[in-house]
Amino acid sequence: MPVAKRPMTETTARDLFPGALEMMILESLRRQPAHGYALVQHIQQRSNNLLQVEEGSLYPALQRLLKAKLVKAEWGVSSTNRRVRTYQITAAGLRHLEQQISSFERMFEGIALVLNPGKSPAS
Amino acid sequence: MDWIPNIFRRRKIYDDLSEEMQLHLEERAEQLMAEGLSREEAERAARRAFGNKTLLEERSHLVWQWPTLESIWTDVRIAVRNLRRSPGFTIAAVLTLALAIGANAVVFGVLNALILRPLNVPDAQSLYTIERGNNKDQATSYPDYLDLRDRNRTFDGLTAYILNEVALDTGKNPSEVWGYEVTGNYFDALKIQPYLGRFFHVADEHGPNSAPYLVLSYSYWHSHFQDDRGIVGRVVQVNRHPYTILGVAPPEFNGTLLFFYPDFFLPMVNQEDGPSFLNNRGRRNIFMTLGHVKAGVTPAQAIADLDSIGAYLEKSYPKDDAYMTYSLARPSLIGDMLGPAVKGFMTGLMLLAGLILLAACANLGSLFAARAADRSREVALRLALGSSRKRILRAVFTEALLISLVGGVLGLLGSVALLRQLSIWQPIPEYPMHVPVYPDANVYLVALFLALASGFLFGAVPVRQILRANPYEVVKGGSTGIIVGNTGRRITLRDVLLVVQIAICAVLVTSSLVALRGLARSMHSNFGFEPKNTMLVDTTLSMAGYSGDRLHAMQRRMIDALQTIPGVKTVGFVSQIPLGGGSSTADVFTEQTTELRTANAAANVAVYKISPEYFQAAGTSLLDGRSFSWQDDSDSPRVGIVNALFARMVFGSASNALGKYYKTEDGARVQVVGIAEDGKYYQMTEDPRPAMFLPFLQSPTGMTTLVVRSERDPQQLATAIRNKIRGMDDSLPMFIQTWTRGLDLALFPSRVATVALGVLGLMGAMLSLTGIFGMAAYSVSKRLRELGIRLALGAQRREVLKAALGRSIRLLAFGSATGLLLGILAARVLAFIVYTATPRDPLVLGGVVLAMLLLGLLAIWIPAQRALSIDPMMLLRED
Repeated sequence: MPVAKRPMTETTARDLFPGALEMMILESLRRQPAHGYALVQHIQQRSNNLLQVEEGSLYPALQRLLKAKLVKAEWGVSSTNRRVRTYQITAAGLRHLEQQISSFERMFEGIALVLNPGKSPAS
Repeated sequence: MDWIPNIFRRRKIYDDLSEEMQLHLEERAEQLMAEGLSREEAERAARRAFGNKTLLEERSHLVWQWPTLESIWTDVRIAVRNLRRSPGFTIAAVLTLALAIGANAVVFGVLNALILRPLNVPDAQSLYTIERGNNKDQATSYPDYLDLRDRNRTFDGLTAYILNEVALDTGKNPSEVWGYEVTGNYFDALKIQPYLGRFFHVADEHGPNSAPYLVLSYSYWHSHFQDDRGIVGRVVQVNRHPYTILGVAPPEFNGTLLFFYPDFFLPMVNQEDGPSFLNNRGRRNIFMTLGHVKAGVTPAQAIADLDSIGAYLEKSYPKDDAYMTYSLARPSLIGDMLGPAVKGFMTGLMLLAGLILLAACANLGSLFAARAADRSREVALRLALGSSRKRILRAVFTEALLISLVGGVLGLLGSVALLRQLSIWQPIPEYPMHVPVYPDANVYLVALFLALASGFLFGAVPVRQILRANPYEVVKGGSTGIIVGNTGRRITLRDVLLVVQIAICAVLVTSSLVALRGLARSMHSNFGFEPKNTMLVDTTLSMAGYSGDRLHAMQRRMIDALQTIPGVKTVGFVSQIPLGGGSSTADVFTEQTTELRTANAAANVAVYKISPEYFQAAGTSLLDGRSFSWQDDSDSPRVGIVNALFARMVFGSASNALGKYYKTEDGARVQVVGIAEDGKYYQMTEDPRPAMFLPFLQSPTGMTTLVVRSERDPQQLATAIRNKIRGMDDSLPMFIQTWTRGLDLALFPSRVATVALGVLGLMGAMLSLTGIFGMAAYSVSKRLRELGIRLALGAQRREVLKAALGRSIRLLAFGSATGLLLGILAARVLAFIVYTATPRDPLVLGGVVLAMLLLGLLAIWIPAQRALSIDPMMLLRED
């Protein structure tokens, strides 16, 4: 069903709100430093493949993070003996991530309230 | 903003990214292969999952914000490539702009240095010179100066100076040097600190001849004392009196005039030779009075203050002081003596230079429009392929700006070299004159601004053309594309530009011809003397310590001695050469006047003290009466010779004057024994002025310029004269030159004006040449096929020429006529600077028409040849 899958991916990619991909990358990196390929694997596994992100779109996001100095990158050799560029979260990245998560949670709460007016968020 | 360092790491960042993505793809493919896919399938699947690598890479680059910069860089590279592909166009355009911007930079450089830049003294903004009366007289008498200095409440010290030449003997060869005689407070009032030693102050003066001190200028010290710091305290001879060198002025201080650099400064109170003017209120010997207006005082307040002192002076000294109202002006160009003329001339020149630049822009604009028309197909294709019009316009402007910047830099380099040359130039060796026009940041900024502005100006010409281009029509319509609509009868933008350009050039050609003709005529006009075959020997005897009877004896001996040189016809002498830069005036009164005060004067006249043979030597003709004789001495009745205007002003008519009497300032009755022709006395452009000549035996003078008339070779004659005078007094300083050279100072303004206008006129002519040529060549090359068909159908050569070039010729004629009219209007302004300059001169009008005609013919010659040599068969066989 390639025909159905392509539009699906695109919508998913577009529907990710701005900064979502960056947030996920930072969160993954907070757990452990990783290179691009591993990051993609990690995000896809953790989301149970719900987020079918185009693999390459990770890289513009990584460049944005690099430019903002929220992550830093270093060339090295992986455990499987390949040349990899490993990304690591910086102190500024950690602060940024925490802010993002808390504002994201607030937003999520708000959206949930609008979508389910009967339920109290606390319960 | 850390993008600046980042831009240098750009390559590395991009490479890292690219490699990283590649590794990602490989890792994915390997994993897929491990899952059992073939290599080919795995690679394809990996690429599919990854997305468009190129696009993602570009999006990643975007993150770093360089793409705008990079696309500009791309534009520049494309523009350079395009321009290199048409070197003729590029070189012509760059040279045109370099010349035009260079001319503007030079003119602005001079304007900036002479008018905009303040004098190089501390607080120049508050420094003013004081002018008196309605004719803005700078001259003041020493007693009046003292009153002004001591009674004013609005100036931080008023100082004054006189320009003077002295014989300076430092133990070696005595030489005549120019400097300032200044009041004791000069350096203190101007807040100048010595470079070496000390300056003199008011406290050093104790009445006449009490302060024999000398301060040297830095450049004189540098060139004549080789920076010897030990000269402080040394005694030298000034006009054969001992003076002590106190110190050296700082290098950046060259007196308070912009163009006259003094070699020394000495206190004005030293007047060892001749009658002192220090106690004479009627002798206005001081050249300039100047000072800083106190902080918080407006110029109007300062003038009111001075006027009240003036009223007091008029009341207290009615004999000497009249018209004592004051005004303020900037000292650098002797206030209103030169200021307004220089300002007017430089402004006019700046306007003309601006016109040159406009003409150049019009020229380049039409070239650009033609280029854009030629490339209409390329533009259409790019538009059809989805390029935006903005992007195409950006490419056009990039080309224009590239040309204008390269041209601007070249022009600026040239103009800086020229300005530096001008600054070290000494136009008249006799005087320490300079034209200090060193370029500063303002000049660079203006040149850069002009370059950018003109780039945008001529770059904007083809904009409409491109915006209107319809790719569909162009691609359909074949190579002629856009211009199809423009070759008809309609007046196009290019036509207008060409007419404007030719008109501007005609204005320039007209004004330069008017100036040239004016100068040529002033060289041959009647000065009231005949400078040809005449040598001037300048020996200021008073500097050499001669006075009283010794003075007269020496003057007479010199005349007699020079008379014996073979080939010398006549020798006379005069106190000051007319048109020589110096001036001496006096009030004269009718015989009936009893109260001899300025307000009652019949005329203020130029005074020349002469020997009996002066008129003969100078070639001045006597209209009536007799010349002086050696019998007109101090024992006989006072006599004078007046010029025709004097006679009319004082006695009503020339015939009436002979034998009548008038009175001089000292009350003496002088009988008119001769009427001389009118002449020029101060400036070439002056209105006729009254003048009187007095016999030197009755009115002694220490200033002696011998006028030697002879047809011998000037060089030999000068040597002979020098030897003769050395034989009488071997330490007498003298300056020998031909009278024609002596007129350099008087002719300097007209010469400068003529050279400046001539250069601009030449540039205008060149521009119109290239403009017409470009236009004609373009129209011929555009219509080669049409002309070929006409020829094939049997058209005559004349008809072909008419078809090919008729339009250019009509535009040329129209533009020239417009320009000529405008030029005649503009040239009226010139009459103020160049003597006898008038545009209503058949020679000038004919010259302009001829010049434009020649330019047109020259420019159209090659295109016409090309049109005539068309081979219809060759053309029709092509595509």
